[in-house]
Amino acid sequence: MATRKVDARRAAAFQLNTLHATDALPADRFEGARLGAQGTPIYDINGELLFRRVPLTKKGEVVAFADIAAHPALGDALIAVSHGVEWDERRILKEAITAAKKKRRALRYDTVRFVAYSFPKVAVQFLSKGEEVLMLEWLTWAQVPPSRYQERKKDEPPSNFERWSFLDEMPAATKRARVKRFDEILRQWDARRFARYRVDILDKAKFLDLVRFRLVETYEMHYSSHAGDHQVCFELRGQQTDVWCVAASVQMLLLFYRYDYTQVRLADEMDLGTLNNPNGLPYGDEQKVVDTIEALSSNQLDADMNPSPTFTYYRDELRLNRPIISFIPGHSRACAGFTRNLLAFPGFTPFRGLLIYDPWPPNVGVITRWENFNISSYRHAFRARLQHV
Amino acid sequence: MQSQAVVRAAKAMLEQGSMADAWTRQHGEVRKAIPVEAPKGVMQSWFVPVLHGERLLGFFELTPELDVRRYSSFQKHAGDIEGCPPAADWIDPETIRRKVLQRLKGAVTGEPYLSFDTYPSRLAWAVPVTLAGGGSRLMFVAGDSVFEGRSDTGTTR
Repeated sequence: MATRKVDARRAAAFQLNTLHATDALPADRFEGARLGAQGTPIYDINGELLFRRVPLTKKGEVVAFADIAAHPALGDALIAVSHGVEWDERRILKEAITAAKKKRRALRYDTVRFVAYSFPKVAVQFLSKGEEVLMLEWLTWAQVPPSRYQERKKDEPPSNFERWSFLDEMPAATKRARVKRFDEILRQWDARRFARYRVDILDKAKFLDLVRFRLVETYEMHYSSHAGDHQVCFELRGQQTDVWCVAASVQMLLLFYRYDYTQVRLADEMDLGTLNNPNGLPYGDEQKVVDTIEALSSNQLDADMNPSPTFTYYRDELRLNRPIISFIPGHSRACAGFTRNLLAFPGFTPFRGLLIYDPWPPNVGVITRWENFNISSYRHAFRARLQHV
Repeated sequence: MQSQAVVRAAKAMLEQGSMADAWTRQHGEVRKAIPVEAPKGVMQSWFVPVLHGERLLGFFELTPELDVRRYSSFQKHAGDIEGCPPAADWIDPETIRRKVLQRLKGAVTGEPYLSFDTYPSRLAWAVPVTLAGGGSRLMFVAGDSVFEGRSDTGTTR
């Protein structure tokens, strides 16, 4: 199977910055270090490109090197970061060739490359017409013996100084899971919100400013799910009588989807009486809310109700940019956002709040930012999902 | 004394900034806390108004233990005070009493108190009334809306 080309350098640079920003790396060595554009390709025993060893330099001097994945089965972008051992590709190759000539004066080869002969241990492999003629371990320059794979018992791990293929010996299920994780990591760090940030230089202050540790998650309803390029988009409607909170709530939800109905019309649909003789929605008649939303949107909105909504239910729906009608004992409102603290101290429930467009008081209404979810009681919640072609 | 602690808590929340917007933090003034009672004499929560001039921008509602229940704003957008009601409609008992008397000519009103209509979310002033023709009832005032209390608890309204 052909190896997929992957470029994990940018994701690895973010990960390096994260390590540096959290003081996991020695600041004096890494602050201001630049990640090189090229690196030494390191191959698997089976011949596939596995990772690149990329130097980190400061004022032209190599201060460390990072191993960056070139194969998705590695499961992450940054494989390792090392310092204290010098990595100079040209000098290492020169030393390897000298050591090889000492071992075999008549050695003939046309290609030399680095291999992870026992991941992550590295060796230099000499090839002639694609066939290996010699492999020497980096630094010790001891010859790496041929594979013992056929002799090994099932599940017997490779011995200390033995070549084995990182890719071929990986169980298929593990490989699939790692590839999936790798793709997710690249997707996150390649996201557009980070596109303008230059990450090849390790800079603690700039990086912390960029990714600020998130302590609060907040979302408010927008015109579309692309929240970054427009304003919050939800409008308050006060209930027109002292008992028409349901009509007002349904009005707000439908208006978000540009279905502009009066409360009089909505009250008629839900048997809530007239302006002069109004009534509330009796308990047990909640299905009328679902039916009304669907009927008055010509079934373009697929509505349903949840009799015992949790905060997770609200959060997940709102994240999808879908407003919710929220029933509490005796009253109804529209919900168009949430906030929650992500930092929890032992013994304390983190604050969780809902952004409520409350049609009470009549004809005015209020926007509640935030309603404390932890001390409130909730009854039914109603959502509407727009049907796509 | 507790009402002062309530006001201090509300001021702290206003300044902290996660409940009200920047405009309200700069221009809003936290006023005296009013107990929410239901029935009369049984405290359910604290209503803490936030004013700008004669307008009511919004209010905090805190539990008797001073946990925040909500901050609710009459402003539809930051800086907008057009939709904000006159503060007197929500904090001045005499204004509230007058609204009832305009509806029920010749009635005699008792002392208004901040309460709610059956459910805590339906915040309103309660005004006991003795009618001109005899009989009594409890009227509610929520801003411009004046209505008679209903006893039904089986509806969403």
